[in-house]
Amino acid sequence: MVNALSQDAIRSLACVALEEIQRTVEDMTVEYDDDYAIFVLHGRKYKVGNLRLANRSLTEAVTAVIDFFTTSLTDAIFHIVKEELPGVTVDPSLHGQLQYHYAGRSFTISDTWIHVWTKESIARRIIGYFRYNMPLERL
Amino acid sequence: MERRIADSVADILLVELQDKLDGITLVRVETGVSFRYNEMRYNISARLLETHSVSFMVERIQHFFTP
Repeated sequence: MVNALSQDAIRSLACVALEEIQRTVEDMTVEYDDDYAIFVLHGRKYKVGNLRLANRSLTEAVTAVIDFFTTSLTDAIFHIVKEELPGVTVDPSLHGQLQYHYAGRSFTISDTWIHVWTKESIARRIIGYFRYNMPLERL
Repeated sequence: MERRIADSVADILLVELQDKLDGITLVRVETGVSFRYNEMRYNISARLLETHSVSFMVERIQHFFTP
C-alpha cells in the first residue's frame, strides 16, 4: 500500500473518525505519532496506521475502533464471570445492553457501564449480584 | 453515519486535490458531491465516499481531470 496523502489529510481523517466514534464511545480521545493515530479510552490504546487510514475506507476504521473497545471488552467481562459462575450465559441486546442469566435470575448491564468502569469492576458486580444476592443499589 | 462521513471525506478530498488541481471546487448534491474543474464535473455518490479509501478517490478524480 502507498500513502499518497499528506500528513494533514491523515490527521483530518483521524479527527473525523474520532468524532464519529465519540457518538458511540463518548470519552474516546486520539493521539498521534509519525505513523499512527492512537485511539485511547481510559488508558487502553488502539493504533490505526496512517497507511490504513489512507488506503481503507473511513467507515472501516471507525468500525474497527468501536469493535475493539466494546466487543473485546464485553468478551473479557464474560470470561471473568464464567470462571466464577460456570453456566452463566449472556445475551446481547439491540440497545447496547448485555443481559446475564444465572440460576433463573437475570442482570442487565448497560453500554454506559462498559465505557465507565473497568472490566474487573463490572465482573465483580455481576458475580456479587448472582452469588451473594446483593441488591443493585449496593453494587 | 453515511452522509456525515461522506461530507467529511469530501472536504478532506477537496483539500488534497487543491494541491494538485488549482481551482478545483466542490459542490454538494443530493446524492453525494460534485467536483468541478475546468468546466468538467466528476460526481461521487455518498455511498462511494463512505466505502472507498481517500487515496483511491484522490487518484481516480485526479486521473479523470488530468488523464
